[in-house]
Amino acid sequence: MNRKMNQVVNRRSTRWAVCAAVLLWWSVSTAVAESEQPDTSDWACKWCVFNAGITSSLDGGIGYVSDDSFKFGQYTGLGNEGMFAIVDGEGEYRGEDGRFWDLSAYVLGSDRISAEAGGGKQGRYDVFFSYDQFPNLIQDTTSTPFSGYDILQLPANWVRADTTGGMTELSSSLRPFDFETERKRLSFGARFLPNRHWTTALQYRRDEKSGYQSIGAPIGGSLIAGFPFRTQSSLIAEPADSVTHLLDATVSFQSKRSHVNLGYQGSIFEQDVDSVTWQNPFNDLTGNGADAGRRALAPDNQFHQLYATLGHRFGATTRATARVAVGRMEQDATLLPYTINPGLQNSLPRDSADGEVNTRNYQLKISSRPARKLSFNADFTYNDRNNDTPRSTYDYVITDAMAAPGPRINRNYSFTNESIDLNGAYRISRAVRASLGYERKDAKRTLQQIENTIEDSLWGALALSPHATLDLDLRYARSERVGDEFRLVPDTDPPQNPLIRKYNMADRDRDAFRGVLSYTPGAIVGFGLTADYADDDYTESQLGLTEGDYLSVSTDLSINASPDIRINAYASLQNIKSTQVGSQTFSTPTWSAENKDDFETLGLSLNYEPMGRDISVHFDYMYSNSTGDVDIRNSLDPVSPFPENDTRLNRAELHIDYQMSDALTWRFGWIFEDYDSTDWALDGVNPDTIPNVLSLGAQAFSYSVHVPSVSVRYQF
Amino acid sequence: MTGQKNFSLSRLIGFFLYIASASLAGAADDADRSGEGTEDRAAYTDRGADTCLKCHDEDDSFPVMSIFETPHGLQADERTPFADLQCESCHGPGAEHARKVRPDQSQAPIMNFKHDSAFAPAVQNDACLQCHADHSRTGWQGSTHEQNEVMCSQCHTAHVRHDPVLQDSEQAEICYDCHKKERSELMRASVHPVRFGIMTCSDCHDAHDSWATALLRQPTLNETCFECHAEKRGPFLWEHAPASEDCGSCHTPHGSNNAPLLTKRAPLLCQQCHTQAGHPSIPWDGRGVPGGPDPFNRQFVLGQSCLNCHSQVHGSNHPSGVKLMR
Repeated sequence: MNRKMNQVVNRRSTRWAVCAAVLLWWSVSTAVAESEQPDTSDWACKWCVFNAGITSSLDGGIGYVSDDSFKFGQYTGLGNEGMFAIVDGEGEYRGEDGRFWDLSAYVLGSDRISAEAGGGKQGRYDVFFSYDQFPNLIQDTTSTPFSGYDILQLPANWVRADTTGGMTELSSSLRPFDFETERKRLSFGARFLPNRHWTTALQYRRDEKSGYQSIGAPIGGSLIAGFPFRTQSSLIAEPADSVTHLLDATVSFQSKRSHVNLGYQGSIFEQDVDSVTWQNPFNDLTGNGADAGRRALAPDNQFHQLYATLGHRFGATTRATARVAVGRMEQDATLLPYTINPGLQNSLPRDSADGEVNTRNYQLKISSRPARKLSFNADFTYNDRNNDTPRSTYDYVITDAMAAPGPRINRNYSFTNESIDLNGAYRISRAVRASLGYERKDAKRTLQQIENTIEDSLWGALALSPHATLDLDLRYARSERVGDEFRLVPDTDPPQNPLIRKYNMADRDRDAFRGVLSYTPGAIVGFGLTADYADDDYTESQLGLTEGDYLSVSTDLSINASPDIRINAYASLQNIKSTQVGSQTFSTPTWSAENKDDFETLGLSLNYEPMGRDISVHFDYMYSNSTGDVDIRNSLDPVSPFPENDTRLNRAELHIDYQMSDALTWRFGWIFEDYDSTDWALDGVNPDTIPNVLSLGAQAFSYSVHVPSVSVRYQF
Repeated sequence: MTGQKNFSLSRLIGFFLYIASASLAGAADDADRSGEGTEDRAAYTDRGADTCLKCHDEDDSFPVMSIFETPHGLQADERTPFADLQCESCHGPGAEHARKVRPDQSQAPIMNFKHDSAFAPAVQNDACLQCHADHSRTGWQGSTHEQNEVMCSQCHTAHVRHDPVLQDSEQAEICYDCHKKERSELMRASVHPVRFGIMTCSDCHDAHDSWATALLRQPTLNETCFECHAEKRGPFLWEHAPASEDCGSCHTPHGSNNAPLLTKRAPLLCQQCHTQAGHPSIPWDGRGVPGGPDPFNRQFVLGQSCLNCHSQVHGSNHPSGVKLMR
């Protein structure tokens, strides 16, 4: 383009911008004026009953769990048979000057504790403090011969063997070991509002996790006649003790038209120990002295992010929002040696990974309702994860037992995702509203088989209200994802089959449909039906995931049988199906597998709350059933099918409240829960069931538990 | 090229300015988007809340007195409705509604916040946003919920002491009114503990607006997950690319048959991507289950399957963690 053309274009664009600016000025100057305030001198509010004073209540009671079950008590801690206490109290003060405080506490048994306290002056400042403690009971059928915390040792009389079947001291060495974790979450924060325009806020959370999780710990391998090389492994208890500190500080300014927010987020993760070491329970068949192994735990790491949000309203109907966040994840934990095997030591290329990932997130959104019936939105989003971790060459050791066939360079994966979303809606009539949208997602990856994919989506929706009692929403979306040239990632050893297309970057066509029907013929009955269907077709994938289907149908019914009785019921069916293809011969497809998960869910809720009576009844019933089926087809060998996995939950809960006096209320409760599950990966798997994996004996859960309870509430 | 850039930039700026202008101009003839007349409704009552409370006491079919137990009903805070135009701060001018009518006549409508209200969802929501278009709601306009004409009052209840959607134990039930699929998912065998009251929907989602799909609180899915699972953040020396990119590659957020919240159970989950010659590409089947004829294939299907050995699936910081076994 020559200079003259540039001048012409610049003059035109400048004029264009000037015209638009004049229009904007005109619009602003003629924008709807602030409505005039009425004369409120006679608005005495003499009938207003402003809330002031202290109110409080305290619940105390006991309950009983009829049977042991970790699954039942997974998040309540009520995993063991026996009595438990219930304490639930709250208190609050409200002053006419806006001063207030709140206190609440909830204790269930010994593991579930929640407490909050807060106060301040409404519209000026407030502070809060909270403490939350809850368990995660994972497995209690487990046992292990190991003992210790981060250094796990076997009994002195342990007899090593080539396989678990030969470990003669295994059964006598097993000791029960429950896998569970607990989180203790302490939070506090403060907010200061010097005037109606400014807000400053600070929040801190300390999240402490403790307990153990089961992990696979391989060492060496076995070379047994008739079988290929097999790694030997043990499932062990790894400490999960860590603390995460979270800090969020913001300053906000708000006016009639604009809003600005600046903030900082920090997250610091601290692990209690950096590794776990365990004795090798197997014979070292490699002959390299692999008598123990060590694995690294997640390293201490930090994330710091600055963010800003700017929102502005143009006139009465258009709003623009811009957001920016710039962050950094980093960790410089000292690297462990390649191995604790003294015969296989190499020198490290660096003392620390010096992990560093820089993140950038931008968003610009404009939304407008230029006319009464018309709205549109434009949204641009940019997310970048740039991994600046230095790359080095590592002469690694395989499972503390063998030198690697060659060195490897670490891969610092980076990702950039951009999306543009344009959509609009037009109300054709009071009964019909139509929407249309287009979205483009552009994903860029480094060091991967497909470095760039672009997904275009087009969707349309209709919201129909043919009658005051009937609403019907229909939505259809079509997406097509296309990647650029496929290439095998170099230095992958052993290499991937060149026919694989990983599903997160493979070419894909997706059709998705959603329908929602709502029928409310009156104040008594309401009915709803929701259906979702999605069909994925991975068009260019010869190996890997090739198809996926999802179907969900849910229905709701609500009945207000009388002013005192409300009934809600729901039912849903869901089906998830996918097909994947593999090649046993490292060539063209030789086998396929179809995964199918089916779910049925039912719920019923009944509330009886008679006005002017002393009693109320609440009943809930929940049923959830699922089956998981895997169907493998192999063109080279006969196939032995997997058993079906089933999970069935029945839960009924009844609460009866009886108000003895204005201050005193009794609550009687009964929970019944029946759970039955099968899992072919767990059922019948004892510590010595897998010849080359010393297991824990975890089993699928089945239980029936009754929990009666009684408590009394006193309203002060 | 410079000229082209300037040209494009100016056009872009001009385009947005034009949109703003058109929107403002459109606003002039759009003063009443409810379709109701404006003249009478523009008049406020003579006595404010006292006018309203003459009828809307505790014996009325629309009792409102509990508003005084809420933050909205406090006059000492200059930001609240009762420090301003009282009931009419939110419900709009009410003189016409309060006017006496003959027994065979209905009261003129006033802004109410119900599903069957005569006022469009956007009009109802504007009543709330005149004060609440702050940090967390600045992007409400154009958000997923706004586009679907969700009204503030569908989730929030203003006239009760404690808004249920702000109570941890009650929030999810309100979300389930529309999100029925998620309600069922959260009843599966492996779930995030929402139905136990440990987590709330708003721990991960921001109902008012978001940077990310699914109205997530943080700009990306992974950053949202890392709020509670910071140990999986790394950056690790040896990363597992799909874990660094998108937790949703392997996990489903609400519930699954396959613990822990996996989209599919191993080994088939792993074999969707790993096709190397040898054990990753073999179709492991039921021969490996207890009692099956092939005990040396059990390590691939029983216990933790692939994770019996490759247990560092989120990444390893061990210098020998190339294969995610250390």
